[in-house]
Amino acid sequence: MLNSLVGILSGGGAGAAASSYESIATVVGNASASTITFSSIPSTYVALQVRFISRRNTGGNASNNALNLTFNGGGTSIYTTHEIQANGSTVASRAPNTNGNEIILTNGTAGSNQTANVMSVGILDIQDYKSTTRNKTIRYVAGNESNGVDTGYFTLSSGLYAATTAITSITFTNTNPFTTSSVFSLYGIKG
Amino acid sequence: MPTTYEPIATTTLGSAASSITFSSIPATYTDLRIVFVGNCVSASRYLALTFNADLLTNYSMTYLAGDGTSAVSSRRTNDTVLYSNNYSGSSITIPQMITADVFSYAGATNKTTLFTTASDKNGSGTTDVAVGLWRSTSAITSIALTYVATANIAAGSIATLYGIKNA
Repeated sequence: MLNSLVGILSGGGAGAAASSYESIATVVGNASASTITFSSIPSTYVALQVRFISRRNTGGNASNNALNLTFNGGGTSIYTTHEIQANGSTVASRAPNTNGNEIILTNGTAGSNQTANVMSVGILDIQDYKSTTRNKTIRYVAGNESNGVDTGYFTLSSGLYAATTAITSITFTNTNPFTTSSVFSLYGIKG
Repeated sequence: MPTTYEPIATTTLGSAASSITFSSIPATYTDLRIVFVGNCVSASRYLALTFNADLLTNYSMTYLAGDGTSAVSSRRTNDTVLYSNNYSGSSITIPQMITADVFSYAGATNKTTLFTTASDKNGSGTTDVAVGLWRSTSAITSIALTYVATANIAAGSIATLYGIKNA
């Protein structure tokens, strides 16, 4: 895809000693691509974790912009999301989608018109990603804070990928391109 | 070359102290993680972080807390320290577990931290999460942990700093 960034397993990143938490790949935004993908994910781990900082290069609300999360290139009507979110004054519980085409990662990216150098940050955990008999559940936490200039948010979500296929790729889709300061890092956890 | 997830330093207090400080933090990692288990010599205090000895009003946070009855959210702005939580606070006898994930600590953007606080007091207490901001584009080279309003960290408290390195 012309507007996507792809991180492919490098085989490196871990130190000389054996480790149960290994870095798999890192993708950095380039101000033109609105999609970040990790592909060819090996089946040698028990769980995956993505840690990221994110901002849109153009467009977007001041804060509380969402990313879309899909696995294995997509899927129709097999994603569901639930979230709890706090904005400094209220707490809300929502179901952003049910049987949809992506998991919605609310607050997953700062907007381009937000306070300069403010990023959204997040951690995405995927347990049992390689199972071929069970659906996949993800846990997601993210936050965006700007000293009250824009509304700060904390989001905790659970997501369902109702597919019994092993996850071999992960795609984050932004409405607008990721800045060059956006970094997404994939880690594998061994059992 | 550092491993992907490794402890950088650990401090266990043999006696109460006003702070725990991690200094000379190398810039070789991507993110930092602090895990604190301990308590304060006074009740209802909040564990806070200070980066690079910056005591100016460059910190803010937004939090979500649940106390067993309700869920609340509020915000602090223009603080001189970065609060990890701000609802129920510490116990004199029951330790809290507090984690802080500091993202891209050596990068050129402002520094955002995600906090979790487990502070159950057997009939009271809270579970808290928060997002915090240090408005500085400087790399973090030191982190100090203190309780606010000022009170010593209790003897036996443990703080560990981890480095996480991406590919």
